[in-house]
Amino acid sequence: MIKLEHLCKDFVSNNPLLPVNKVLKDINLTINDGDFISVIGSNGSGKSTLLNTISGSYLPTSGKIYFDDTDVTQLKDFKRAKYIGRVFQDPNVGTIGDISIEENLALAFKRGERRGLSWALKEEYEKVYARHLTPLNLGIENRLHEKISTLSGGQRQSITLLMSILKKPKLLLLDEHTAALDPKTSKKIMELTKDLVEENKLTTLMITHNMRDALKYGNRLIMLSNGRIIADFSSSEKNRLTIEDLYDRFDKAEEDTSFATNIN
Amino acid sequence: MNWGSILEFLGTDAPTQGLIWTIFALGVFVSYRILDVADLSVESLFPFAGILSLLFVNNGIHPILAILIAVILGGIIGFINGCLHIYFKINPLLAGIIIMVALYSPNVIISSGNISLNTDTYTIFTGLNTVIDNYVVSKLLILGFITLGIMALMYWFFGTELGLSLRAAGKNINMARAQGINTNSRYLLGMVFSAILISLSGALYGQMIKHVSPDAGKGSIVIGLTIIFLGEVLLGHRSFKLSLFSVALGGIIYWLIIDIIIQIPGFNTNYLNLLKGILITFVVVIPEIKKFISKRAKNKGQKPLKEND
Repeated sequence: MIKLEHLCKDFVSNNPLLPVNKVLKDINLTINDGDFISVIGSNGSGKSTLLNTISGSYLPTSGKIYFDDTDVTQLKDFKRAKYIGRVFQDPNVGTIGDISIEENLALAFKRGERRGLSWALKEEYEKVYARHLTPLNLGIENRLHEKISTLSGGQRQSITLLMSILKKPKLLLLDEHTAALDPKTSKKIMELTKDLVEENKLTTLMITHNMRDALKYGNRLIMLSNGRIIADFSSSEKNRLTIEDLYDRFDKAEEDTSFATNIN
Repeated sequence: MNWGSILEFLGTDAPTQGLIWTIFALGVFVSYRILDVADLSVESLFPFAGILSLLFVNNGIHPILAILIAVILGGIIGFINGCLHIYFKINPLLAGIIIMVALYSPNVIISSGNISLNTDTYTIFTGLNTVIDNYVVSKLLILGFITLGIMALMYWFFGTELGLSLRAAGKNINMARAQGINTNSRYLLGMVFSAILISLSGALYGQMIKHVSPDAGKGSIVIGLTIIFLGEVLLGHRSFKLSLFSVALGGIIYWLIIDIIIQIPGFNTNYLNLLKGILITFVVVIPEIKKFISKRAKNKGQKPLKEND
């Protein structure tokens, strides 16, 4: 179980009109084991900041983050990595193009573990990689020694996805991981994501711009607007929702915010 | 080429210089290619280690121990250089420049302007000379042995889990941190690794040339980079192993070129730095020209040339 308590994140900027930009405002969220949560919200609603605060890339201004009963609020990102698998929007960020597929996988295989002076590429690992890669039907298991840059964006993103779960994470963070891909590939990656999450019973938090995906995948849907969670739909509520409902909710939330700022 | 001319070539300084600068270029390779930092501190670090190794030998310290101490001190300088970036958030390029400028003073002071090996003092190269009755051959053997040893060490180290994580930290900081790699400690480790190789080449240079001035490192970064680029033009960098070999090959070819140029009758050596500048520009431009040609071939609907990457 992952718990966020009164999480706030401010950014200090040089803008004299807005010296402190409050991006996250009192976020409270409990992610149960096995949850697959989609997060939607307009640009600047704080989606990415939320993800980066959970991953430790940003430290929160106030509030607490718990993984089970461990307080990880002040834990640096690379130390938190042992709990978290991450897939970035850009496949170039999630993998290193200049080294081989095998080396990328080897890096992910040791996520959060001590890295010593033993050989990074071991033959017994290759079997593990092959077992994970074969179901993808991309033929990558025979190209382990090639550089990742020889793969297409979709293939690279499949690998990143695989890398994030090669060592089972407590939480899988997907940051618009299909946004940079064409519609067909995007759909493929979403299906792969669903299969992997179900198969490995992963707890997942997925940011998406695609309302259809948000409704289709996962058992919970969270709406963010202006740094707050404005809705948290359960699986049964989610099934009754339509894309129009979501747009209405956003419009209403935005009206409320503009009303609030006018009063201030 | 007959055996006579090969021996004649080996008798010149080119092969031994080539090996020393290969070690130097391997150090630059660690900072420039692995950590992606153009580290200018090498310009002062190289003479620093050279001066120290001569100073120690002149004071009766065993030549190997002298090199070892110079290398350790050089490694500490590399650590300070890394700390400037990691803890004081100074841009890596500027951090290198700061070290380059600041280290010049100690170089002048400890060398009192310039330092020469005392006559009748042993160096690492004279030891083997008592067994093999040819100074040039013994120099080549020792330097070749050290260079191969370093290449083997680098091949091993960067193939380990720790070494691979260092490469990852240099290539993609976001990915590395997401995999739980402490990128700060890897950066420091890489900078020390690089400084150790630079210092080793400097210390060996000192004992071989027997004379070092604080200006001995002037333009050395250009030599190091040219060697790396030249090697990549010749062999490419498809794998890490190949990259290491390409640096070694680049080192030897580079000095061959320089040696041939110097031996042109009537060549004014004042033009040497200009030539080095032209050479590095040329070597950097070659891959771009190749790309341009292959692009044009593609546009014409012909089979494109194989891109060299």
